[in-house]
Amino acid sequence: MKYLGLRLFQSVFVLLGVSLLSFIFVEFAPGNFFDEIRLNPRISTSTVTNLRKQYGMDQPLPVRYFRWLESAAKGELGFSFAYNAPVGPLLWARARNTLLLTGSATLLAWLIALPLGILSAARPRGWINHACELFTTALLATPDLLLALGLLFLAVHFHWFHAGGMFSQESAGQGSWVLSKDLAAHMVFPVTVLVLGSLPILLRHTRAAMLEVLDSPYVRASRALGISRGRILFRHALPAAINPLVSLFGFSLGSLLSASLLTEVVMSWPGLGPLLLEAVLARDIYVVIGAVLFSTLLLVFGTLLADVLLFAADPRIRTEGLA
Amino acid sequence: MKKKHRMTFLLICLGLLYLAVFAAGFLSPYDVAEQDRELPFAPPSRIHFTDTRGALHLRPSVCLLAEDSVQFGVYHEDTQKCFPIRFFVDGPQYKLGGLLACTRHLFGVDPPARLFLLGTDGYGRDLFSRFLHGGQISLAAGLLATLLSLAIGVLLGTASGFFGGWLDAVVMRFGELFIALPWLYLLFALRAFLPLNINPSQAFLLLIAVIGSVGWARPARLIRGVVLTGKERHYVLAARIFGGSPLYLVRRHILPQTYSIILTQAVLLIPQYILAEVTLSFLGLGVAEPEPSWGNMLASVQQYHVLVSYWWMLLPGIALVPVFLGYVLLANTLQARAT
Amino acid sequence: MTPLIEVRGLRKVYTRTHWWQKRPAFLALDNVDLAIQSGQTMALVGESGSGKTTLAMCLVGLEPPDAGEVWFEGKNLLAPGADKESKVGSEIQLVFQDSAGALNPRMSAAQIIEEPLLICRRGISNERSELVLEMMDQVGLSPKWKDRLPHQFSGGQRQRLAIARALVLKPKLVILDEALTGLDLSIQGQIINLLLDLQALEGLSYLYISHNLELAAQVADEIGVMYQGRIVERASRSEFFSHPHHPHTQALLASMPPRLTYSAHGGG
Repeated sequence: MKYLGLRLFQSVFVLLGVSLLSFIFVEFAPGNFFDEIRLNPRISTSTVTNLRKQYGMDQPLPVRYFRWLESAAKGELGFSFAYNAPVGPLLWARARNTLLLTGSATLLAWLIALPLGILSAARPRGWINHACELFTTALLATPDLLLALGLLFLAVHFHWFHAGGMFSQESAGQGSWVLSKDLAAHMVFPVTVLVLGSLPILLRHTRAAMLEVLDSPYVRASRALGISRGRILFRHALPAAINPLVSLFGFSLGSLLSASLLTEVVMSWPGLGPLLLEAVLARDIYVVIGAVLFSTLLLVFGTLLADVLLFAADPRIRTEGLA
Repeated sequence: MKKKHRMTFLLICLGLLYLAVFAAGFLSPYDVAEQDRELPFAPPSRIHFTDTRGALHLRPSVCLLAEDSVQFGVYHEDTQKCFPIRFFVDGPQYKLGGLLACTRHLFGVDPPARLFLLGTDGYGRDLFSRFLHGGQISLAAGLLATLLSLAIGVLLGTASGFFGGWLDAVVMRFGELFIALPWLYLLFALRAFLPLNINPSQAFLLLIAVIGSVGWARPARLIRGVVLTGKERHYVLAARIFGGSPLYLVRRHILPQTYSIILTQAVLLIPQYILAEVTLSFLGLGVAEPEPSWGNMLASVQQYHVLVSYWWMLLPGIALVPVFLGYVLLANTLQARAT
Repeated sequence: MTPLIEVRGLRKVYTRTHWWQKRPAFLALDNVDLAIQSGQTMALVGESGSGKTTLAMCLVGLEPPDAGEVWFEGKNLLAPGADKESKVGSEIQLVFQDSAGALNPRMSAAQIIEEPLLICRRGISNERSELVLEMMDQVGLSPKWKDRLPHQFSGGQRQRLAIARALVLKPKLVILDEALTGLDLSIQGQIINLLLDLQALEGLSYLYISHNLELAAQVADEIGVMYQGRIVERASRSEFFSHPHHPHTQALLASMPPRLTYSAHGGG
């Protein structure tokens, strides 16, 4: 319990640190939202100055930071200039969609990678292993961008599923069953891209972790004792391999978020991706800071979850401090 | 294929690719900005080995293209009017390697015929020429950004491992942040806080700086590990007994231990950084029009009508596959050699 | 006669340096005294963890002791302001146990032997090359092998290389930390003879550290026993074997095969 408390404290620290860094970074950056507007001849300079005062952009850095912290505590996380609304709710609405995608993709990817990885490790010379290797290499050679564009191309040419967006026009206002089917149909392509993107790494690491465990002395001793292969695999090897895999889970969240950003933009999925892109192009800094912070939050949460799982799964960690 | 041969083979392939892109000016028949308003979205030219009377020739030729009078974007070939493809022709001036001014191109056709090996884009610009020149930007960005990342990584990793203490703690914590956070978000955040409207060469340098400063942490951590164990080796201790300064120890004994890690990291990072440039340019945050980059050439594919009708616009993206494949196989071979 | 080197009250404590880790301090050296005369060999025997290697590290300047004095040729090496590294580097040298780990695998034999000269900026290029070849000859390595890499030598030859490197700066005291352990018996004999020859030739003093009393007995004029950071027995070789005082020494002697006790009294 004390361990978890420490990790929680560290996480809060990390979040604060990232937010502070972002603020300082913005301070040094040339140009901002208001400079961009000023380029528009139809908006008078006095309007811009008033807008600046209204948003408190003329205040010194520490003041702005503390006011931002206040609004963060209220759940607002600052104000979006482009949307003219607080950042918090804006982020959350989009974040839900992103989580839907990334959550499904993570689940699916692990569901595929774990059994395949175990099988590959169990039979290093079998066809499954070779097929996986080929598959992995082919996928590693194909960047996410190409996967997304390629699938979009196929969808458009062969009219498979629905390419782009989250819901179709027709299903608006219909019952929840129709809506769910529609949603699922729209999710197929983005989730496929995300799963294909993360499979190579997961497969590789799962196989490597299992191979390492299967090679260890105590597993070989078990084999010598005559314990059945299946039992060894699932009762002895897999639990031992869990440790590196859970760490992998924590780390893979980061790359998944990056992949989902790109996929959402290409496939017009209304998630954090397009929001962040717009904000960057419009210099809507509080949205950018908010999005970066959200990804940090997700990551921190993910690693915390991984730590908890590890704590529960690996008896060595539980007894570490007790010697 | 034996490992050593495989590595040489891969290196040669990648080398040829880089060479081709370096010689973009020579290999491309047209200038990257040259527009042909009459032929937007033209498909790749059909090359014929028979002449107008149906006889076989060794020299390939290309026929005149005309737009359909009714439909936009549909073209018909006039097989009666064909022009031979000439080699080593005179063409628009370019600078080989950025220094030597030349006008000779590998191949071309006399006007009014046009040779579009990969078709044209919405402005009627030759995609093959833009592809080669864009490759210069994308591939160079990958290399230079990797150099930057490795430089930072070696510096911080060595300092961290060698001196330890609070420096080590600070650098490693900072680095963990960079490793854990999603790289595209980091790239966006960095890019967001920097000016949007800058001239192309500044944009290129900025791009390299941004991409390179995102990925220093993993190399730094690995190098730190090597330095930590490396500085305890007895031959390092022996040199210390003789009175070797820290700088000498690092230069003579410790850094050479890191060479293989640096190599493997380079092979891993280069394709990732090429992809980073392509992604950023694709999204409008990298190299901007009219300068070609594989990324911004792909951007037009986002439009529905382009995606549906003009499949050749996807070629810059498809070109990434052999590049990545080369690097992935190289990385595999390096890893197999290490174990 | 003033000893070449005299250690008084040397003390070294290892503590956990991180503020969040609480481990008890480990007393590696507890008030160590010893003295070695010029041209003599002292053997220091003890089990793992008795502090022998720590002592070597302190004497050679790799680890700073927490208390005590080291007098070398009448000068206190540990006095504040003493130019420790370069002075000690050329007068007191160390030969490690693992010859493979003690030689940079990427450097040739000549480069390895030349390195100390380069670091201490001795002589010019020609002089250095000559000295290198001379050293190789002295330790019994053919000068034809000067461009060979360490892995191309056998264990015994590597140790000769390490000795050549240690001697190139003409030190007065050479510490041999388990330098014979791990070599074949016949090779051990050869190296021992080499060391004795060099000692006679150059007037070297040796501090031979080992956990193996047999080996120590073959080379030493004086033998000391280290136990838990302290020197619990110190005597000339004959005295040591005939009248051991400390119970630990007696236990050590009891565990040795009988034939050596004979040779300690007789010749050798």
